[in-house]
Amino acid sequence: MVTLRIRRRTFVAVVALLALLAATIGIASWSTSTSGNGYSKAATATALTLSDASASTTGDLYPGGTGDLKVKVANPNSFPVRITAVSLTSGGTITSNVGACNTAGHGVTLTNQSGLTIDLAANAVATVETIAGAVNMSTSSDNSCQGAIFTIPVDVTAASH
Amino acid sequence: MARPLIVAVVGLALLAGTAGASWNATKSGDGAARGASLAQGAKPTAVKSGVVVITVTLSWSATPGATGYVVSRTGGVGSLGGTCTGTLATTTCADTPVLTLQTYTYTVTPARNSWRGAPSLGTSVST
Repeated sequence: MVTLRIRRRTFVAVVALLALLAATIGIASWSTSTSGNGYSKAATATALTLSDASASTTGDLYPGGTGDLKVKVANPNSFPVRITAVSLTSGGTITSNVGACNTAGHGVTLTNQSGLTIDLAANAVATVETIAGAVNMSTSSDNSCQGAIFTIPVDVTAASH
Repeated sequence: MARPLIVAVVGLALLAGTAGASWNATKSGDGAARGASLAQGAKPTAVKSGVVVITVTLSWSATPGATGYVVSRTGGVGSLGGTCTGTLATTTCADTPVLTLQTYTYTVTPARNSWRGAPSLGTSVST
């Protein structure tokens, strides 16, 4: 009888440890940067969708100055999310819609952003979000870059919120 | 006796995991920005003064976005002088001394670092 109790207690302890281990593994996988891993929400979660924001840009970028970055983003998930960071895609190249500007040098760069608090409601349709002052233009930007639209490849990081 | 306890422990563990969970993902795509444009310079006004030493004083309206202006002069003899040479941070300058019996035409070009707007329409002055 005593032996049986010890076995049951041992079994309970083992099961509890396994359960906690499973939960820990689950948490670890939810915080990865890829979508859809692990978590019960993540089982149906999908990444944000980004679309063309060029029509929403305003000509605010001068040589030696900064301008706004526009991203058009939708949240297809059934839960709200918060955009926390936007950075230039590794190996990405910023280009303009003016050939001469690209050839002669536009001098446009992106300052990677972190600590952002851009909230998207659940199932939010595509809306244009503005990250003020994130884009820089060098003082030597070619004259042909006036009025040019710059396409900036970005990685947008978001978390459930 | 032990079975309910097992169920409770497993349930609590899973609940704790769910409560602490957060979804986090990175998505690649394109953002956008747009370059500004410098407008055409405003046509300057020119006022002649002086008898022995003639001065032409120019003034013009500011161009949005411009941080400087380049004045040009065509026609007549000699070259631009006074305070009208180089890139100006002001919207007025004095071209002096200028020769008599000449006709000069002045234009103003907005500037901002490496960018230039279109030159203004010209303003002519006879000395």
